[in-house]
Amino acid sequence: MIETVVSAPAVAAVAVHAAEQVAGVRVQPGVAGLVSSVVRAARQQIKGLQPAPVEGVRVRWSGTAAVLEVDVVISGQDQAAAVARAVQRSVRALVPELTGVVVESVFVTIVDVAW
Amino acid sequence: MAVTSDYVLPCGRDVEEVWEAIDLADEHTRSCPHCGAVRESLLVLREATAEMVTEEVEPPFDLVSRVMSAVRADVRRSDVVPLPGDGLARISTRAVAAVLRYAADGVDGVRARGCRVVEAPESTGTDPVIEVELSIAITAGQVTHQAYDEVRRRVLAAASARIGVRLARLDLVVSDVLEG
Amino acid sequence: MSVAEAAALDDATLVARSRDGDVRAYEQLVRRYQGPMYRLALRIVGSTGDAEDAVQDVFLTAWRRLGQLNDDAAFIGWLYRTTTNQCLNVLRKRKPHADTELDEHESPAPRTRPDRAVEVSAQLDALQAALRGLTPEQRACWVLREVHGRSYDEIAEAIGTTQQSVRGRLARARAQLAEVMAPWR
Repeated sequence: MIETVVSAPAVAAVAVHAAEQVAGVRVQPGVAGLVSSVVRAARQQIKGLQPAPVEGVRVRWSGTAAVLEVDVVISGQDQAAAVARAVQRSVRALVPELTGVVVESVFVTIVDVAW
Repeated sequence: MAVTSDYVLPCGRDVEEVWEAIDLADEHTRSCPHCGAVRESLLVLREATAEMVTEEVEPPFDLVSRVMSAVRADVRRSDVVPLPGDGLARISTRAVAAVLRYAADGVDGVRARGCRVVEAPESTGTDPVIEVELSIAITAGQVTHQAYDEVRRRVLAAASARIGVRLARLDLVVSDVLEG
Repeated sequence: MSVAEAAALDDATLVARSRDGDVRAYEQLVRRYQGPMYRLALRIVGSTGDAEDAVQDVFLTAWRRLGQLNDDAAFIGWLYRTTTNQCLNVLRKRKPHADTELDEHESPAPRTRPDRAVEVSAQLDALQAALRGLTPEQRACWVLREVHGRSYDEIAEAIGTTQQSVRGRLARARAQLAEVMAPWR
């Protein structure tokens, strides 16, 4: 029997997709966004400047289940609390559906509101 | 003022003195070949410098967006407020402040300046509560005390309708008065 | 309040709001000062890649340190000093034969001036080349003073030295630059 291993980046990518299904939501890339090219990224690492490991999603494992943290910017048209719940619901639904990975919890941080 | 003796010309002057007298028509410079030559070089330098001052070199077009991405992601633990629910959602105090400032700005003659948001002592994960200090600038002649009531009303409404947290305390500070 | 209104706000207001966590206000500050800071960095470090890195780091650090700023009006001076410092650090870390790194990353700035274009460009190129012959501190003093018009006091603080030392370095820089520019008389 062949076991399919789903990588963290794949889970993260689906989580981003799920979050952005919610109206007005954009996942917020982190310090990694500061680096403009692969070459510069390599230079940064050599200099000891580690970019944050994030395109706005962090994946940790609790056994075979995923614990997800998502940083988002919302548009302000809907109530923040409701949007956060919608993001959690969307991620909880799509990650297992598209990757087969069980989601233990989804931690959402709204970092900014951008009209 | 003799600043350096490294660059003293045969006539006894140093380069910096020639620079300071560059636009003056003084006797010595006109007659001295050393100073004259240095003065010519300095004039060229000055012209090239002027070019450099007005040189139109711009940073890469995406520098701003990259900086702002990092800025937005830079949220510390202490700078967030829980959102009601399963305790797994939270919002940065900066985002809350932006929403509340926007609400206050909606009142005529009022411009929000600073907005400090902290989690209240009685706040819990299931029932988050905030305390706010909002400083505003008002336009003289345009604002009556009713405007302050309106600001309070809007900010309170925004906290619940736009964010979903309870506002236990709102301190309004008029920090500036603008000409009407 | 619209974005357009925010763009017209003075520095002190933008700094005050940024200190409060207003990301939009900070973006206006970044837009306003990215040009001068980038040009300053480029003239000190000589390479576009390093200049870009330095400016990005400075603006991110500035955001994080805003809480420590006592005087909103002091922010811009702080930006100049921090950018200078960052650039000098970059130069200190460079290996002695750093010319190769320069060749890899340096891209010539496009000349936009129409008239007297050829003669004037060669002159500017000569100045840029001449600047590379100065020590980092001399170069920083000269660029800050002659190109960016900063005060001796500010330059001294940026480099971490005395005003007298700044004047000395400036004089030496000027004399050396004049000597190199002489063929263009």
